[in-house]
Amino acid sequence: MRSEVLQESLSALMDNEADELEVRRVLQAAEQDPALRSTWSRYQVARAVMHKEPWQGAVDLSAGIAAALRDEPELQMAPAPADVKPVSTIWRNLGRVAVAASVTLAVLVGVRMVNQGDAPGGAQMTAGTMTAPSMLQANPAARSGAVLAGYSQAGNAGAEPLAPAQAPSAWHEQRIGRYLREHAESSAQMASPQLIPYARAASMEGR
Amino acid sequence: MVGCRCSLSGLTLAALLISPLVQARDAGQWLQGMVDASGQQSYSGSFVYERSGSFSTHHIWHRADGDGVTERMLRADGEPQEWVRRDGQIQCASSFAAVSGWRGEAPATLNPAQLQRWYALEVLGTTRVADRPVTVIAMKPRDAFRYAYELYLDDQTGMLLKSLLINERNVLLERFQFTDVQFAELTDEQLEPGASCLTLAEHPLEKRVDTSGWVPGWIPPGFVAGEPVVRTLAVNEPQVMSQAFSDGLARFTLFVEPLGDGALAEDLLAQLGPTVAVSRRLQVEGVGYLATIVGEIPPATAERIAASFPFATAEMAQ
Repeated sequence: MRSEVLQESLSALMDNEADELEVRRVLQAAEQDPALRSTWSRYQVARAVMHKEPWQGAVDLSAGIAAALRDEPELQMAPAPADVKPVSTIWRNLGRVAVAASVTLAVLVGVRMVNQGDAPGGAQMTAGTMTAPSMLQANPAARSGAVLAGYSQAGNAGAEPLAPAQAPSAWHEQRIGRYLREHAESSAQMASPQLIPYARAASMEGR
Repeated sequence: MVGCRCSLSGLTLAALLISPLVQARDAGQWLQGMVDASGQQSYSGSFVYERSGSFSTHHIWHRADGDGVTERMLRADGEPQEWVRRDGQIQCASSFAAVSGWRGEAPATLNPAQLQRWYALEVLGTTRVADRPVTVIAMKPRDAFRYAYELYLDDQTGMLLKSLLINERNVLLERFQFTDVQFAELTDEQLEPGASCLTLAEHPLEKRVDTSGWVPGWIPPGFVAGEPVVRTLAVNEPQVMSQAFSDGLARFTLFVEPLGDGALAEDLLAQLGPTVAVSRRLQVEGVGYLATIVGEIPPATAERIAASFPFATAEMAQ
């Protein structure tokens, strides 16, 4: 499968406009291609940021979507007869709606997966037109905004050994939130000349 | 510059401050210039802050004069968040849920000479930020216990105009970047806080206590501990011990609080952008405690600190 086609399918999937064939194609390719998987992850974060969706770095949608597709009736995969084209279109659209719904569900449920922690691939996403000096030179993908997304993959890889099997208790979650805030704010109050601790604190919106 | 009341020596000093910094400066001198810039320049501008899952925009008004430094910071998107501080002391704040006035007291002054022990400094080159020529300084950690920084310093004033935080795998964790900055004197009105900026209530007194039982067995070399304090973070809740640590650039905070009824916790690692949080349960004389390390350090460093507590319950839990 040519990678441009896959990228297109992936874009369509992210826009909830992929048909089932495209979804399956992407899923299958993502299984074998860590770079594509990584790109997909970054798309997810980018979209989450743009749409202000609550984003959990631990979520990899592909597992959830694959499971959802497995459970869907095979009927949707049956090719519609050529002479009833309008019906076929409706079917295709229904399929899209079903897939889109599955995607949402996967986000909410928070499917966990094992991150293999590949370096972000998909260098074609960010044409390296900048000439500014940077330590990140060796990793062009790390220059774009989308990189922060790539990060959450890497971060999770580091987090894995300790990640609890079940979600933290409500009490603990609340404490972690408070500690994060307290740490950021106390850092920001230092007479330090830098604004970054302030920005960190301000970026934690009140819950 | 106001009129010409200045003496000859004053003029010379002003000329030195304003003239473009000499190119031969090494990275350490650039850092020192950045530290000095804060107390000498008045400016206003806009900057963006980005980490995984968050992108925010901010305004800053910064006045440095004979009376000291007054800063007004306003988040320009989402919930209005505003701070006014004078010489580092908060005057008013809005919607930061838990501004406690706690300052942590870990060393905050950036000392280039000391930092060079833990970070390799290097001038990477020049580029442009906020339409101004800048010089890029890399700070690469000499060990695996801290992150790398890339600092973009204004050629003319030495001010930090952009900063990147980068992990050991060359992945960007955080971006801070001015989009626009003007160096000019500020009026009182510009530093006047909005209505949403509330004067802080009197803080409950912080208690200094003997926290020797909570000292981790290991902290990364170069990190210096601040004064530990015990206080409540919210009403009707048990007290929490907190202590800040810093290597002069990176910073983490240790929190310890008792685990009681309804306070259920497991060992945990959480990540928010560049900030990691690692929790460990401790057992001291039959009482359960939760120790949490929060800071801009690699997860492995935080885990190692957490694992070094003398009373960790890890073996018992197995």
